[in-house]
Amino acid sequence: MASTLKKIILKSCDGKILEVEEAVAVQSQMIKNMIEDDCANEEIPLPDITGEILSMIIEYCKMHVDGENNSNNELIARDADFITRVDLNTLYYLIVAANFLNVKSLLDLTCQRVADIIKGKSPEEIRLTFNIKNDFTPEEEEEIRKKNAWAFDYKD
Amino acid sequence: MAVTSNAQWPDDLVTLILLRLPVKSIIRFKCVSTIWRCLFGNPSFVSQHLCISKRNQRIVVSYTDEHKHDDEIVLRMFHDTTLATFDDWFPQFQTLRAVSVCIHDGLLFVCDINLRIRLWNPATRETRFLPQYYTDARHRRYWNTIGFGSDPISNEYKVILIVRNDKPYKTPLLPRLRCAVYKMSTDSWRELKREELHLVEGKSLYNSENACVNGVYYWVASDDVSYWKYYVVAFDMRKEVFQLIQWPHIPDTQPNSTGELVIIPRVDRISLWISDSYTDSHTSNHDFWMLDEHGQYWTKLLTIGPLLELASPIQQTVTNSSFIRLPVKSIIRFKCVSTIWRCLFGNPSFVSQHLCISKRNQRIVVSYTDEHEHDDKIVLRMFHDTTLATFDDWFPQFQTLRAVSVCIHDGLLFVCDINLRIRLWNPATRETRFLPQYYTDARHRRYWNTIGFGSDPISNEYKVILIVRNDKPYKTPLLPWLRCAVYKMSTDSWRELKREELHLVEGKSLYNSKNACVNGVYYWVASDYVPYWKHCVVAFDMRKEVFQLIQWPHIPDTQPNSTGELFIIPSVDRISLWISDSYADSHTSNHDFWMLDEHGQYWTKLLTIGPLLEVRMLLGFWNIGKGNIKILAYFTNRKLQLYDLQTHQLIDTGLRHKLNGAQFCIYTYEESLVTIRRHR
Repeated sequence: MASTLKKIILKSCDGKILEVEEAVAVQSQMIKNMIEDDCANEEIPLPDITGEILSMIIEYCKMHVDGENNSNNELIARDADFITRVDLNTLYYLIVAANFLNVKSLLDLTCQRVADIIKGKSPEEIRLTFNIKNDFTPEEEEEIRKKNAWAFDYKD
Repeated sequence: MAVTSNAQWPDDLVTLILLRLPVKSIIRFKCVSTIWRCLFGNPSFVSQHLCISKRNQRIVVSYTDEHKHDDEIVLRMFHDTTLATFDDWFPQFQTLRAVSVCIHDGLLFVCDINLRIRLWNPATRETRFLPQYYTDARHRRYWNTIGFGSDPISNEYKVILIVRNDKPYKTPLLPRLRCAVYKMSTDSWRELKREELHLVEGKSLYNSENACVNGVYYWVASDDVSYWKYYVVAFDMRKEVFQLIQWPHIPDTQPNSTGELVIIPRVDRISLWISDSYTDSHTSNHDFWMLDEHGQYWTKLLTIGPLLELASPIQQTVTNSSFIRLPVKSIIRFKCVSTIWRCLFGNPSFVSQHLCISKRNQRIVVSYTDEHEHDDKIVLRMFHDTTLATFDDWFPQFQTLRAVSVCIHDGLLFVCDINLRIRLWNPATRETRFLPQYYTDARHRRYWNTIGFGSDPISNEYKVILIVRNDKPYKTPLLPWLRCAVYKMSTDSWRELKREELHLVEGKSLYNSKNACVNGVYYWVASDYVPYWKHCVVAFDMRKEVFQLIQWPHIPDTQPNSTGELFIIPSVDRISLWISDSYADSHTSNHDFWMLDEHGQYWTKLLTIGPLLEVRMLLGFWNIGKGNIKILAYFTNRKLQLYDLQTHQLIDTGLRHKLNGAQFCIYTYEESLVTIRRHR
């Protein structure tokens, strides 16, 4: 188990440097590939991932490494606890980072969380959330609403 | 307007005029005289005409027009800069599932997801299908790179195709990298040797659209390991060798700024636009770099900008990966958020990704008579989750439908009634389609009919197979013994299979299965008429439209008449067979599941459960999400139970089938956006 003591050095875009145990870092498929190809001996620059986001990701990876022996249900509960603390804005950066670092389970978790947050919203709320300009003519929009009237009954 | 002048036009002048004609006129003028016909076929005329034609480029856009009502993707060639008039190429472009389109010298190169390649000259309307080179179906999952261009010296057109195994852990036997070059003059492929590929090994090449200049094709590439390291890879069409070109040296760039290759008109050079997706688009400039004629150094050609509002690809990836996890109802509501969202939700790739995610969270659909209800009505009930507390009743008229068969595949319900009237229904989007009735003879309803419904994953084509058989030949001797037809959703039409295509199913009884289409193949359990105890599995390949016969697994000491049920194993997408031994003592016997290998030939034992007391039937696997798969089991006392594969325990679901109720059937279902609406 000597290899678990090896540290991987990650550098965020705002210059923060984090030392991570290899066992935690390899939760990222991208870093794992780099280690396998012996390219992770120097610090790894992570563009567009801020120190704040990076520490969240490491927290998540640690949780999964430490929880390896726990039951599936326990991990699911911890995931839920982790993700419900995060607001939509942070989720966006987490998704970008999880996608880049290729942490599949985190990508799945974050994307599912966004889906859960927005699935019950109205189109107007969605435009506000994602800052989208309504480029339909009123007639076009009315037509879509008419055609799918049943989907706008979403009180459930 | 006729030209009636008697004056003799000098030939070379005429040629100069003719060189400036549109192709359509040239083709029409072929019948002016044999000399003209000869002239138009002359390679030097063709290449000069092309030179002039290049001064007047048009644009071809593959997109979904905001002003159109449907969300169809078109490949549209605009006649001029006003974009007022256009031709739509490949009206079936959407269903082509083209992974790559290249245009070079007025020729269109289209490569579909199955690596079938066609060349097309839209002006002359000539088409050529290339012989298929990499035929292994698994190649379509690879990350493929293509290039199409010509060697200007020999005027030889060539195609280069690079397939790579980007999932080596899944398909270790396929080589990591293969590459072949097609020559139009000989109509043949040449496989490049391993040592010719060393420059592209360990690199990801990104497809470029128009990138053949002076006989060299260019791609942007990145190192697989040092992902921030970019290069340009070139392929010399004449010598058939790869070249590596270093990225221009730009101080202060982000490590992962990527680029696009663009041909500079008139000078015929390749240029590189480096996009820095992480910098603020409000302030950044766009630089174009031009490669020198030796293909070694980049010089800065021009700088434009700052240009506001260039779309950021990152924002899109983030939102898309969340949207594919939304319920269908929310997606339909969000169609009116903006035109871009509406387009996205109609995109075939979005639909199939959404389905993939949806399959992780299956629901069950049960057709039964509930013990707790007063009447003996048969319902088709979809339960929202594993608690079975809330549900939707589908087809309130289900009982009167007299449905003989229901299949569920990709979130689509297939219902065939006793009169062989077939309807498809997507309960999530509420679309319905009635199929044209094919076997209309009223006597067919007395037959023993077999149906199958599924999709060919490569073309995304949904198909229905209907097998009718005359099981009372002494009563209706004039009707054929066996008939079979296949329905294609895209053309909305049936094709009758010929007698010789049916020989594998002749003399066999096929039992209808419920969810049994995996990777484009539909499976049924079948038995011989004589001897009746000999079972086998019959498969129908939805793509090739052929039957296959799969032998029963060899199990010593089984009763001759033990039959089986076919179940899909969730997440691995394989078919499995549960062999039920109806005469063995259920108190002691185990239940074995056999899994078919990926070539559809051999069975291996997947798992054994039990002994389970009083279990009469196993009904399938249920993927309830988060990696949790349960087995549905049916008890002799009309209870539906769940068997947990991790804890090995049986849980009562509380669902009870009424005593003397009609047949109990259970299906798994996942919501999908797959559309069955007919195209106008």
